Formats: sequence, structure tokens, C-alpha cells
Amino acid sequence: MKNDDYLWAKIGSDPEIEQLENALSVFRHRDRTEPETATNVVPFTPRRRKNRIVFAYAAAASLLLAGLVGLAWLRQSGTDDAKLPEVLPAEETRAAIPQLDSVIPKKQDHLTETHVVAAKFNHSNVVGRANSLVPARRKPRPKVNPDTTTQSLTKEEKIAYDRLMLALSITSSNLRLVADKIDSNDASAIDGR
Amino acid sequence: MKLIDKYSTAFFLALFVLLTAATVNAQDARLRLDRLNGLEARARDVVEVNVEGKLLDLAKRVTGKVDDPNAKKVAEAISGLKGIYVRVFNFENENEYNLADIEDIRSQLNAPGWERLANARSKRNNQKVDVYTMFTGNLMSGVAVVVSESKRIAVINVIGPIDIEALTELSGRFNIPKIEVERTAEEKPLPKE
Repeated sequence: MKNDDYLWAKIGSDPEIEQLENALSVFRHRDRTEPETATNVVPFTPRRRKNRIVFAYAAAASLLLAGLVGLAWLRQSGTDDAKLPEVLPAEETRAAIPQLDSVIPKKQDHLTETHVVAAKFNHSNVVGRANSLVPARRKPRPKVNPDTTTQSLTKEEKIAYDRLMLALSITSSNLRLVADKIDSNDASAIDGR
Repeated sequence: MKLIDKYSTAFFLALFVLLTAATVNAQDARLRLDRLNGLEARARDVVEVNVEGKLLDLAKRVTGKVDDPNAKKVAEAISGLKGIYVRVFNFENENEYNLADIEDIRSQLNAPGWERLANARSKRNNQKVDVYTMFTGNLMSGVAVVVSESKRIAVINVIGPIDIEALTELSGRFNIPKIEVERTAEEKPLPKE
């Protein structure tokens, strides 16, 4: 009697049926349905774009800030005397070069007088500001008109001019010394003839 | 063969021209005055003036702006000026400075390109005054004035073309003070007829 347990309940073994199973295994049913996808899908948010906008705002703010600082610095440099190059003022120059005392008159041309008056005016203005303790409005930088005379010189122009004139005065005086010596030698040679 | 010779001649000619141009360009009229810095500690008075770059441009603009005939002459005389450097050292006693310091400057003026325009020697005060000029082509590229006395040293270095005659004439006029240098009776300038 053949045991049918393997055929119906797959209990035990039946070499004949097993051989048949193996031969027909290529036609065996296979589950080819795709696995179920997740039901709770979180949408992807492009963060990069957001970062770009933030970066653009930050860059614009930085540029604006840099522009404002630059503008403030330019205005400050236009009026800040402390940043100007050092130059020997007239009195110090006289002290440094004793010969100047005997040569340069204390009261110079109208140019110097104008600046003395301008300096006094600025000084009193500053003192007045300090006393009143009122925030001072920045003094606008005077515009230079090429047709005007030296009365419209700015502080920087005055310093540059004074320094150049000092250099030229020393140069011309020494050149004059040589010229005078040559002239006197020529004259004595003519006299000695 | 002849063609090769022709090209090689042209090549060497061009090379020579380039090298000559480079050599001329390398002859800078700017003197090295840093050796004189050591004298500052020993000198009684020191005058150091450097006018160049934007400061010089500003000063030239101001000089041209001033409504004065002498100022116009000054502006004309210095229109090509590129820089002016002045060092003056006054000493309390004689021989307080080392002759090698000033000879170093004079040795720089022995370099090719510099030509001695004038010199004056006086036994009184052991005075030596030398005026040198440098020309690039037909254009003056520099002037140097070296003055050494027993108690005084002055070195002036002018870069760029400058009208020496006009500057000498303008000594003591306008805002260029004439600095009196100690002179003996025979050195006094002759009265103009």
C-alpha cells in the first residue's frame, strides 16, 4: 500500500512524487506582485533654495553696511585733522631753522592771514559745541572752486602747500647761495683784471 | 646665409636698444637718504620734508590756483615735479657729524647719469656746496643739492624736471621765504645795478 501522506499532507517522503515535483518545479507559481509602498510619504522640501535667499539677503546687508561705513569714513577723513600728515607749523619751523626768524616776516601774505582767521573760527566753533553739549552737525566739506583765490583752501591743501613751499624755500635758498658765490667770484675776477 | 646675418644683426640691434633703454630707466634720480637718519640724534635742529604723490599733486593744484604772478611762476617751475625731499641738520658744535655720512650722498651722485652743474667751496666753515643734475634724454629728471658746513648739513633731492633758474630767482618772494645762510662779507651778494 502506498502511503499518500506525502501527496496530501507532505508528511514523510515519496521519491516518485518528489521526482515529479522537481521536474515540474519550473512551472511552480511565484508571487510577483510588488511590495506595498509606504503610505505616509513626507514631501521633500528643497532647503538649498532657502539657503540661497538667506545668503543673498546677508550679502546685500553686508554690502549696504560696507557702503555706509565707507561713506562715513570718507566724510570723516575729509574733516578729521588727526589723519593728516605731519608738517612743521610756521612757529615750529622758525624754531627749527633759526635763520628763518631774521628773514621771514611774522606777518606773511594774505594767504596766511586768511588761514589764521579760518583756524580761529573753527576753534571757537568747536568750543561752542563742547559747551552746549549738543550733538554737532558735521561741517560740510568746502567745495573748491578753481577760480577762487586761496581763501577757499582746505586744511589738506594748506598743509600740502605749506610743505611744498618749505621744501622749495630751502631748495631755492641753497641754489641762490651757489648762484651768489659764482656771481661774486665772477665780479672779483673782473675787478682783478 | 645672408638672410640669417641680416636678422641676427637686427636682433642684436634691438637687444642693444632695449638694454640701453632699461639702463637709462634704471638710473633713478632718487637718492638714498636713509644713512642721514643716524644724524637726527646728534643734531640740534632737524628739518625733514618729503613732498610726493598726492600731497604734491594737491600742492601743485593749489599753487596753480593762487591768483598771483609769482605763484604762477612757481607753478610753472614745478609743473613736472614728481617729488622733493629735504634734509637739514644743524649741529651745536663743529665736527659733530661724520664726514662719511655726507660723502655717502656725494658718492651716489658720482653714479652715471648725474652731472655736476655747479660747486662752491669756502674755507670758512669748511663749506662745500654741490649742485647736480640728471637728464634723461633732453629732459631733466632730477636735481640734487648737497651742502656741508662745519655745523650744518643740507641735502635736497628733486625728482622730475624743475626750472632751477626760476626757482633761484623766486627765492624770498611770494610765499617762498628766503633762508639766509651764513656768509662772510666777501660772499655777500653784489647789489644789483
